[in-house]
Amino acid sequence: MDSLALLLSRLQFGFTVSFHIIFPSFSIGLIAWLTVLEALHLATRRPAYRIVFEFWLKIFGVAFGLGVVSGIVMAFEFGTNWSGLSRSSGPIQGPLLVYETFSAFALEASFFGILLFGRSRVPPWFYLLSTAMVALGTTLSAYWIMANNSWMQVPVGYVIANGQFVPNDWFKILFSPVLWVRFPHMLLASYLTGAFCVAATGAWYLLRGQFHAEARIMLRMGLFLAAVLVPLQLFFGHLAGDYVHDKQPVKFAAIEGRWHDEQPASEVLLAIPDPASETNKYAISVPVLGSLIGSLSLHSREVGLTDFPRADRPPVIIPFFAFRIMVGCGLILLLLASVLDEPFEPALPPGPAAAYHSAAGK
Amino acid sequence: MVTFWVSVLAVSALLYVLLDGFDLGIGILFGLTRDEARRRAMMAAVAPVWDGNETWLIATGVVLWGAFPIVYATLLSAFYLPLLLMLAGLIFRGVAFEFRNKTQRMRWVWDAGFAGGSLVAALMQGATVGALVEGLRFAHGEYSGGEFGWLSPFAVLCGVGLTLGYTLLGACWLIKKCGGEVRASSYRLIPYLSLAVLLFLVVVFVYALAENLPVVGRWLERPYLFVFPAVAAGAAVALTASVRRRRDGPPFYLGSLVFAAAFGTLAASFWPYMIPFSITIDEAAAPHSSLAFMFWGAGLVVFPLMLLYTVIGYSVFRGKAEPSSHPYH
Repeated sequence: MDSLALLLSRLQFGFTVSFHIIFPSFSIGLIAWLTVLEALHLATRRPAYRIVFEFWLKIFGVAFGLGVVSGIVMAFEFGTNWSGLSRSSGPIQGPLLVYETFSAFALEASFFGILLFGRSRVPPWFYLLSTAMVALGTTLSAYWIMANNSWMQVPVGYVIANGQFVPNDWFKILFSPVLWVRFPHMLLASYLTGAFCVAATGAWYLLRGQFHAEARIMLRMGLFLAAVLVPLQLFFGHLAGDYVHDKQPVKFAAIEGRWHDEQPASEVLLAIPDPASETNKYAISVPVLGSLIGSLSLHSREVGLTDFPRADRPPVIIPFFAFRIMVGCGLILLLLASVLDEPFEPALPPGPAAAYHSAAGK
Repeated sequence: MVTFWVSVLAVSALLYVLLDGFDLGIGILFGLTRDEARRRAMMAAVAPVWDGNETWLIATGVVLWGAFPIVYATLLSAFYLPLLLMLAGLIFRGVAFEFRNKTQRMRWVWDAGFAGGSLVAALMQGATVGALVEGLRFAHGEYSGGEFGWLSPFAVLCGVGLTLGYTLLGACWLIKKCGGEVRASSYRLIPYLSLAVLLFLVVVFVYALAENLPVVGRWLERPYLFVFPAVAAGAAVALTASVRRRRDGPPFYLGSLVFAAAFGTLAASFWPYMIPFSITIDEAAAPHSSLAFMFWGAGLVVFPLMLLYTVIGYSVFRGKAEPSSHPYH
């Protein structure tokens, strides 16, 4: 195949998936939180909960819409760009996406209409149920998509016949241990994205001295959620990394920037990997930490990229830096969540804007 | 099992053509007027339903992948360019619903995106069908026609034809959903659009005969296929009559019947081929374990629910649309 066409196809698909994932990862978390807010409003009757709900529902609508249109493109690009893949793995990936589309349509599309148009037409408990159903729909969507992707990472439950992957054990595919680590990892990522967006918006209003009561709800709930979930997310991230270590050693070596086998292995914190000379430039590394992270051991042997023929190695620079950016962001978020929880605790007297707004909300 | 999934595919595709057909048609008509009040009324006539309509496109796409992976892989890569242009068009018109009301100064951009996106999507869908009818080049079971293998005079002709057809459906929907000036101008437009569609069908027929397309042979072998055009002709006559009498309801259903008959014509004249004259339905079908897995959940439970939701959705928003009552304002 023409290598330029291949590169362009990868760039196009990479851009599509990266652009798309912004919206679901935000909206899955947001709608779960909106369900909690609606329940809190029903339980406490505090108007501020309702105001915050209505405010974020509009934002959810836009994010949801953008997620849908960018998702349509993805469903087509599997065929337009990766015809060979979709031909041979279609019998497994296709049905998973059918379930994704159908369950999303059944739950999200119909109940979402009620969220937007139905506040005055249905009883409050049914409105809450609709919110929960949209949340369930987005969660199920995430499940099917992660089932699909996890199968691509670690294929299970199939035999190969006539050049196609023929499923022979759907149970293995749907309950693959890889999936049940990566799906929670994705859900937690969505909840965290939602939590930090909401908290940041609350903080911004507080700094401007606007909508005090509502801003405090956003900031407190967002940071509370983050404080609980960030450590959990780091744990699931570690579990997901274990699977990469065991099932995709060459990818793991690329992420670690490890060129040669080491025993015990060191951990490269930062460096500029150089594929030409198969070394790292300006490396800052910690001895033994690599074995500890890879195998929870002080003297395990960890494989290096040079064990694999060049043609089978992934490009090193992108996974190496992307992984460090991801973990770095995770650590910054952990810091934010644990440090910032306290200062906003003491209740400030409500400002005039808040008083006006909560009056308007009644 | 294969028959079941062919039916699901056919129903999804037909529903997509009918439902998104009228709403793309309205997008095109939208571009023909400058009047803000009319534009608002047109948008209001599709605002609550357009995203549901496009869901049927995704449903068609994923069912094709899950149940007939070989066809999905072959056609999508053959139609790379038209499909990408179509998707770009659909995205532009989709976001226009949200964005045109957020701005005064830049509104023309979103309006152009709405009309232009609808037009491009319709043209590309028609061209794709045309290229399929004409036949794509295959070597060893793989598409070998290159990036522009789909582009031919016949495909362009079909693109224009489907665009006219969608516009006709759109006009029929507008007389059903709107009052006042929008309804009146749609009534004025329908005779011209119908004539144009008729002319297009005649040209396609003559072209197919002249070029001796393989599909003509199938027609001579199976004369019962002429039932479909006969139904279409009957519906067209009834459409003309109800437009003359200014009855708001029937034209849309009759227009849809014309479309359904055209769809049936295509499907029946290719049967049992899925990609005309090179891959049959049975050859293309996914293994039984895939089809059965989809059948017991998505097929048996969710698909009927989707149909039900579509019916409920349309009945909730039945009657004339009020421009002020839709949520985008």
